[in-house]
Amino acid sequence: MQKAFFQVSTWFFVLSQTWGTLGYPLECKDEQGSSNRCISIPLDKLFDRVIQHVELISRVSEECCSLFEEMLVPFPLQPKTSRGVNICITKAIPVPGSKSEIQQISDKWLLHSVLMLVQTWIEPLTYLQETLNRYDDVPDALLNKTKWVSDKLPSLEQGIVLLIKKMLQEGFLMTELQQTLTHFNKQPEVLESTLRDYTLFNCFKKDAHKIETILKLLKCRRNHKLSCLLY
Amino acid sequence: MKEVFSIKLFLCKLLILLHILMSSGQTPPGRPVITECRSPEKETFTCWWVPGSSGGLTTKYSLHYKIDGSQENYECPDYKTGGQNSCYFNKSYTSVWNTYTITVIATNNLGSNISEPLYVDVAYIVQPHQPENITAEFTTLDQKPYLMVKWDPPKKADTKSGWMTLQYELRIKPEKGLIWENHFAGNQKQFNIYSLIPGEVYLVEVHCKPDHGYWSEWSHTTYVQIPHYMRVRDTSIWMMIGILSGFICLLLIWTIAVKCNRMKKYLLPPVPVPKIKGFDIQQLKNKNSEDLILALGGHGFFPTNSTELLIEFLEVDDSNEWKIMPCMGDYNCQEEQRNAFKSQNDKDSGRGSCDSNTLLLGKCSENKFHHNGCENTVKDHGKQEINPRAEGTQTLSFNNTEDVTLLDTDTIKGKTNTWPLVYSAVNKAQTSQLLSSDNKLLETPVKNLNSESYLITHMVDQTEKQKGSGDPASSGTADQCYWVSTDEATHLTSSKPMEYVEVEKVNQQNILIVKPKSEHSSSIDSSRQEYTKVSAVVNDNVLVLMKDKGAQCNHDHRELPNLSDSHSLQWQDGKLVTGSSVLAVQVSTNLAPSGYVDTSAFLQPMH
Repeated sequence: MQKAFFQVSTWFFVLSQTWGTLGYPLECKDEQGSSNRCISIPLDKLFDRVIQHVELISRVSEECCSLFEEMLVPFPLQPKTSRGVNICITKAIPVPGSKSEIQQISDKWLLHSVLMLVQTWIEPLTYLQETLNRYDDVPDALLNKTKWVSDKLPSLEQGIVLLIKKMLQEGFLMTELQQTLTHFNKQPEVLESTLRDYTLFNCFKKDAHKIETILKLLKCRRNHKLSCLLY
Repeated sequence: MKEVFSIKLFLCKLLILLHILMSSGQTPPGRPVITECRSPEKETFTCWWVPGSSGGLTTKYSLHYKIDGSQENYECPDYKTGGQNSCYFNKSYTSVWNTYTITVIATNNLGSNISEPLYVDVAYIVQPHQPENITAEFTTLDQKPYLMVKWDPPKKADTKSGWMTLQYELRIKPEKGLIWENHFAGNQKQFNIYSLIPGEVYLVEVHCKPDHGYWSEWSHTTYVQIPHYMRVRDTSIWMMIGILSGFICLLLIWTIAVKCNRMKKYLLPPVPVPKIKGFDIQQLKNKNSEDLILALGGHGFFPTNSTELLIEFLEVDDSNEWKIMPCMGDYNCQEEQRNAFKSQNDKDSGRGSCDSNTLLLGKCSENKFHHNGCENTVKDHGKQEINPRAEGTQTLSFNNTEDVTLLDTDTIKGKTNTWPLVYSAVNKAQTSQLLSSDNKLLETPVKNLNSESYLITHMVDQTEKQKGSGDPASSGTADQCYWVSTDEATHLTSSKPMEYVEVEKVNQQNILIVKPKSEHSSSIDSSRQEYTKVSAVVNDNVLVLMKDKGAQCNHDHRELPNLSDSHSLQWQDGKLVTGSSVLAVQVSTNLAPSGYVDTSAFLQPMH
């Protein structure tokens, strides 16, 4: 199912390239259009696929975190002290921390937030993938999982873009997104590389969970508008 | 390391204080420990701590927290809802995905103490309540019985909106069982259980867990009674038993049917019936007279239809006691011989087969020479000539007349031998061995049944084992009969098969025409007996053998009716010599047990 999802995403991507735009897929003339070059997936199925994808990423990121902690066992103090100093790179992207607040936010904003989150993490994960090789006694499982996650993020991004397009009928994304993105740079005031990596892993784990939760809420809201808001 | 040092320092200070304030007995509070923080629905959470020593004074505890590394310190909003030594954060104070740094401070009059900080992210400390409304229902689908268990998620967990995703696990065990059987149910809220024991009471429990969090407590136990139903396994077992027993019954019936008779014999053994040895009741029943008589030890009947070829068998008994001795008309001699013969023949056992006419060859352990009557009978035949033994040779010949009858052994024993002549034709290979110096010629008178009579020349082959074999009877008058005997039954152990010289016919001159039987003759059937007819006895030591021209068609060699042309066997110095061509042929030492000479070798040159 994921493969089909990715195929669709790739198709959209290719289509967008032909139009010479920023790379976001344009509207697809489906059903009504004469030239039916697109294959449209029903929204519900799309939601399910995206949510499953995010669930998987979240699970793997959690495993990466625990593996990294095990690797740092010889340095027990550092993780403890670092927990108090959790400055995640995605701080700038505001995601409310309570369900009620989230439920009050519009779909559009939620989706965009999610998209931003995903886009922000693509680059740091690539960096993490490279830095892990510098460690001694890196378990292969950690390396593989990190690589896997960094490979899957772009496809997640494409899925969310599709969702946005379908749900919000937006064919073109605002460029303001680009401005709000905080570019990842190796913060100079840091922290040892070990600490930084640990912080990265933790923050990514949290953000993956955020994305998962938000998407699930969005799905419910889409399907059962009334019952979802009861709580 | 630093912390440990600071702790040690603090303790030292405390000890000093204690020392100073020994009378008061009061100390600053001990260090509290935060045990755990839990959130049941990811929207609120509660933290619990364990106080340290109170230090003798009333101690006040306060919880402080920071969010996400900010330096602002907040105090616990609710100390009561969670119970003693707890702090409850309601929805407004809870923000998911933010790290809380929580500390507890114990304070008394003397001092305060702070606990270790605990880092909390609400999203990962979720432990839901138990699932609710568990129902277990026994149903059958397509005759397959199973237990359908259903439950509801805990009330406070918001799974509907997707805020929380729960996974469930249930466990079941029989009432009297010890081990729980766990089944993971995933996200679904029902589960089917198969393989149940009918008539048992089962206990069912369910618990749940969020995708990142802790397992809840087990729910309340639900009891369910399984009604009695027939398990497929039981049914199939009974079917198999039935089929197997049916099969066994069939097998038994078939066995009994087939082995009916044997069973009867086994169960009801037949009554023993007297049985005569050698007497076969079945033969009697068959009413085969010939076989019957043979079985009784009698002699078979001759085929009377053939006049040309009359085969008469003469049984010759070769025993140790036989000796060739001349009976010079001595009555005593005769008697002795007779007695010897008698004694020989008085043996009771083991003679049956040997006595039969059909027998020969290796069957008999002893060669028997039935010596027929002697001079008297010979005399009766008149024309028979018994030439006295010449030097070293001895010949026998009979003139055949119609009236010639075989010697009657009645005089000796009362037994009639009317047997066909049997010649043992020695193999070509044995030719050289045919004659030995100790060979003796046994004269056996023959009894004529038909018009023809035959002479049986029998060469007794004596091996070197023989001891003290008597010399052949010296020549005597025609009235003499010669007895040839061997001291030992040497041929008993002869393993070489005998060959026969077949008597083909008797020509007008009462000459036995004998046809040798030779293995090397391709035209001769090996199973046939060959007889050589003695045509005449010449020179007292020459046995003239004839071949019958008409008897055997396949033979290349034909008998020459002329005397001169016929073969002759000469007895020379213990050797049987062919007459036509002076061929000294050694009588084979391997004489056949019955004492017949195989004359095929002699006749070879004629072929």
